[in-house]
Amino acid sequence: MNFKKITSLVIATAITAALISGCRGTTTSNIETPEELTIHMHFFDYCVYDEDWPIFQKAAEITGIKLRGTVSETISNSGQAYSTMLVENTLPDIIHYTTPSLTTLAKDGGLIPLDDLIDKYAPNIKKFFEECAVARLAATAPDGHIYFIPGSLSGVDENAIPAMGWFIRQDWLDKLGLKRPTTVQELHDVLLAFKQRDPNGNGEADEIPLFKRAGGISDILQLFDADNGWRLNKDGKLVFGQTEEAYKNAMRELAKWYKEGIIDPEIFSRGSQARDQLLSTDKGGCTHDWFSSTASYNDKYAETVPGLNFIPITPPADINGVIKETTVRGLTHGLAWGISKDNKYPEATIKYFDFWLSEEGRTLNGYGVEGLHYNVVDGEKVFTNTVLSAKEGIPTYMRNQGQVEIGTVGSLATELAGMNEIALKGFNEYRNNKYGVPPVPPFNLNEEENEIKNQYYTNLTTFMNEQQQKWLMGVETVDATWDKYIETITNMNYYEIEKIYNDAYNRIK
Amino acid sequence: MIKRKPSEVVFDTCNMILMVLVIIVSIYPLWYVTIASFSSTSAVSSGKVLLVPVEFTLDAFKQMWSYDDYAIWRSYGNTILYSVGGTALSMVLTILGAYPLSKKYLKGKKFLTWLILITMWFGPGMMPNYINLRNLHLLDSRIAIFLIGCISTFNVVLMRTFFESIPDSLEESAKLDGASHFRIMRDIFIPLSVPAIMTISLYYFVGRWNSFFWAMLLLKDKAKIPLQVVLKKLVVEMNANNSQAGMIDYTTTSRETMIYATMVIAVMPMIILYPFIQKYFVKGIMVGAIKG
Amino acid sequence: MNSTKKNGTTAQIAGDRSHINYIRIKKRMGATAQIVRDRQLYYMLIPFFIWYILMYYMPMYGIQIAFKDYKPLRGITASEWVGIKHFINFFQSPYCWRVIRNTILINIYSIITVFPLTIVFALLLNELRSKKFKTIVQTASYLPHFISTVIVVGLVISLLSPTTGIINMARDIFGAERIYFLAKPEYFRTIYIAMGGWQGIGFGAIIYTSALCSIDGCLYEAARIDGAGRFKQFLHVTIPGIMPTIAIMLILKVGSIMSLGMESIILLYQPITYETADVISSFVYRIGLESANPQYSFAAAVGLFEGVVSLMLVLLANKFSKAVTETSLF
Repeated sequence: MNFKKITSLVIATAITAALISGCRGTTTSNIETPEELTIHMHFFDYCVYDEDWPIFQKAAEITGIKLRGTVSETISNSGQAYSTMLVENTLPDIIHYTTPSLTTLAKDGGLIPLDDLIDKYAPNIKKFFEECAVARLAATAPDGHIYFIPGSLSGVDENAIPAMGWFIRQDWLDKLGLKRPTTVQELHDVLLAFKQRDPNGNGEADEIPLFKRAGGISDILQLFDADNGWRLNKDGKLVFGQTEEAYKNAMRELAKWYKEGIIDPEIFSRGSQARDQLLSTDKGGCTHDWFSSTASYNDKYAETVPGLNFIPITPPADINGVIKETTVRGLTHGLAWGISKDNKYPEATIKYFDFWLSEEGRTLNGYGVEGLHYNVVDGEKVFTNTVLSAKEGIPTYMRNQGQVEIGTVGSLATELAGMNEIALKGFNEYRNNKYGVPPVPPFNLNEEENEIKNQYYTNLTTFMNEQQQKWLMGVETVDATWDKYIETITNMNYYEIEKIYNDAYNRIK
Repeated sequence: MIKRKPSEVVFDTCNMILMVLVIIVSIYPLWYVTIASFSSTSAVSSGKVLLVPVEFTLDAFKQMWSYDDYAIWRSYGNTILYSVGGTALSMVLTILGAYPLSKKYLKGKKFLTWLILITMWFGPGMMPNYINLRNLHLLDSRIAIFLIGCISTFNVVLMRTFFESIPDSLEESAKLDGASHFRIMRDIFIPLSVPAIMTISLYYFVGRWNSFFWAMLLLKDKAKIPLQVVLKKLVVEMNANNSQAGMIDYTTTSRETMIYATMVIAVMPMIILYPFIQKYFVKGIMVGAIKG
Repeated sequence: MNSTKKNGTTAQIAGDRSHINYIRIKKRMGATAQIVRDRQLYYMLIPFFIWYILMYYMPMYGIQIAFKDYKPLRGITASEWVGIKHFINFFQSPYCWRVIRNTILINIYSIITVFPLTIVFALLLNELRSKKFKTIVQTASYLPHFISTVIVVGLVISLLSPTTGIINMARDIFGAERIYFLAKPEYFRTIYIAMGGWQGIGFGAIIYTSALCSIDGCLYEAARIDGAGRFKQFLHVTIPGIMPTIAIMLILKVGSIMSLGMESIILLYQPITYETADVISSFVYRIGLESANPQYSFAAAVGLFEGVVSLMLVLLANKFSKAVTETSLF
């Protein structure tokens, strides 16, 4: 016993020394390091940990710990992968998933608290929490402990970097002699003209003026100052967008748009190939999507659709005249990893986590492996030709090399490198003018609150989304059924959920 | 030959035409998949492929060959293992159960039969089943795949009925010669029941070859996954509106013809075995029908 | 096929005669002695019943989680009892009625379409004059039954695809608008039932075909002598001949009206079609195993509800049939 105590003291001092001198990794000898740790990583329904990822292989080389994935990518549903993992007799050593789910797991005793481990062994994690208060908040469970390490997609220095932007067919505008729309009303008129004045010139009104690849009308709602999810209202109170008066107005207007043929009739079901389908056939007019990939279509379909000029535009001012963009990256990406109760090497694991937040780890995540993915030229990191010429696009390529959302701080480099001039121009315009609306900072529900949420939340949001489709498609009119709608969501305990969200939010304010 | 009335001729002709339609409807979808898998992607997506392969190519098969580190072939091997091994296990257990239960003189027969018959009308449900497998430490295990659905009570009843139809006199005389129950079963009853055994094996085999649900739920290790689960992923991807697609900037590629190619190799064993087994299952159903 | 059956019957009679001796022997022995004598038979049953215990009776123990708040990390015993909370939640949830309605409707639609079509197909097949052609039709029509659900669903998805599916391409040619059928709730049940019909009608007809085969040829002969034409024979001999089989099959169908396998549903539906596609079993699967916040106990409760109602329906249907048609399952 005494001996153990002394050793741990020694380790602690050694670590402190290491911290002070700023060197890395020389004191590991006293901690039992396994060769392999198991990890559960399956998110977004298709990102699944793969041992062949060069980025993680490099990390294994540096840290001496190889990760072995416990879930196969043949499971096409992340929720199923996660919930069936929970029932297993032994949990994997490392569990990676969304922060709300991990919070629940921690409460049930599936994750171990990391506070002491971080203090003792993880200077980089400590530093990360110091430099990024939001990350610390995101990681802190209702009981005050830290159970998982969150991460950031594109750095922690700048909040609300835009993710998506508005794209429109400039060639159609020119052909019809229209100006770029600057307000929601102008956007409506332009799109209506797209529908009625046959910009593709095939004699049929087969144009789909406004389409979306995913998310239905969520992003379009911002034009009406409405929202599809939680946001802060004028009084600083958290409300669910689909219960607000602004949403009611938005749905009334959008139903009109839908009826006029402006909105893609298949907006909820078009699917991930929407841009390919509608741009290659010269039918799509306007969308709201990621800069990098959307800007690539002009080249991709230059031959099929001569003159295709699909470019980003300044967000049309919303009904209140505000120019803004609500799809932004939060400081944290919402995914995290933690150490499970069955992990036999918590010290080694926390050191592994810590590696990813060191300079070396951040670079590895942000740029990949030196020599393979990037080279240093004149002190600047430059992507190799293999990366730059990846035909699936650089972000997708790098993702398949292991650049995924883990507990580290990534960089914008990959995305910027993948942007052509069109994308860069749009992105920089949005970024420099600070159109991005900062998202609600992350907060965690406590045990009881979580219980209530789990009981009602899914049913409630499903109901709301179904109702949204009915209104949009004109099955019911929003004015006739709004009161009934509010009554139903009240019965479905919406206000109870709103209250617990605000309680939780107020705790971090 | 009795001369047919004109109305009968009309009826027979209509009937023939209708039946030809049935043949086409039954076979065409599979034919379409086959020709599409040998055609170029562009020909398939532009709708040119209708009756024969257009722009003949083996690209789909090449793509399938190396898809995800040969996942298709690994899973193909697993499917064969689960189907062949599983069917053998199922048959052994089914015969071992059906044989004693076919004996009228077996003490407690009624109670024992009732114990298995009840499973046909009431089951514990998906969640208790899943949790039970967890408690047995059978998650992510090949054993679980062999055990799930290993015995079908319906097949036991079929088998038992068939054994009951074999004359007791044969058993009587063997008994007089001092043969044990086990020997009687092995040397007399099993050889006489080959058609029934073939039919029931076929039911088990087809069921196992085609099942995906529990394998999908239980297996996480790539090395253990059967073909239908891989196919399920490909098929669902084809239909999916990935709700998460907009979360990150990620592009997907269409793999339609590759999916067709995979389907072709997945049905292949069935199609090859089909002519041989076809005659058996008609007899097999007869076994059931006689009882009903 | 007929001859096999006749042989069986004769043999059966012979067997019954010898059985009389056996019973006499049996009567002289005590129960224990009999068990000892037949111990080999009981040994055979051991592995068989071990399987039933492992895979059927042990899960029965887990049914209690429907009345608990099951937490995997705590195990069944340590999880809290909550009574019928989950059942109440289910009955109060807006999805309760939806999943029950969808389950029943899909089954009813299938009973009024696929079920009679199967019989009609068997009857038409029976009327074919050429034996060879009959075999060809049979062979072709059984084939879909042997194709896995996954592949059949894959076929349906690709045939109906809005961009590359032949159905939509055909619509295009005729100037009709392309429709993404699988994303339209109003088409879901039709697609699902048609799919089931494609897979099941041919194979399902076997049972009627064999029933038709077993109708005694003398009856037709007699009808012919009475001057009955083909249609009259059909009406007065064929139909009554297969009536018991139809009755049995109908009981089975009605008895299982509350249950519907989720395997093809979960491959075919999307959130947008839940309104018409979500059935009890797919709902159980989704909330119990597919969700990132799995509600194991709630799902188990819904599953138990389905099981109990189904059981009652089977018993009822059986009783009803016994009373009305004098045919029953047990």
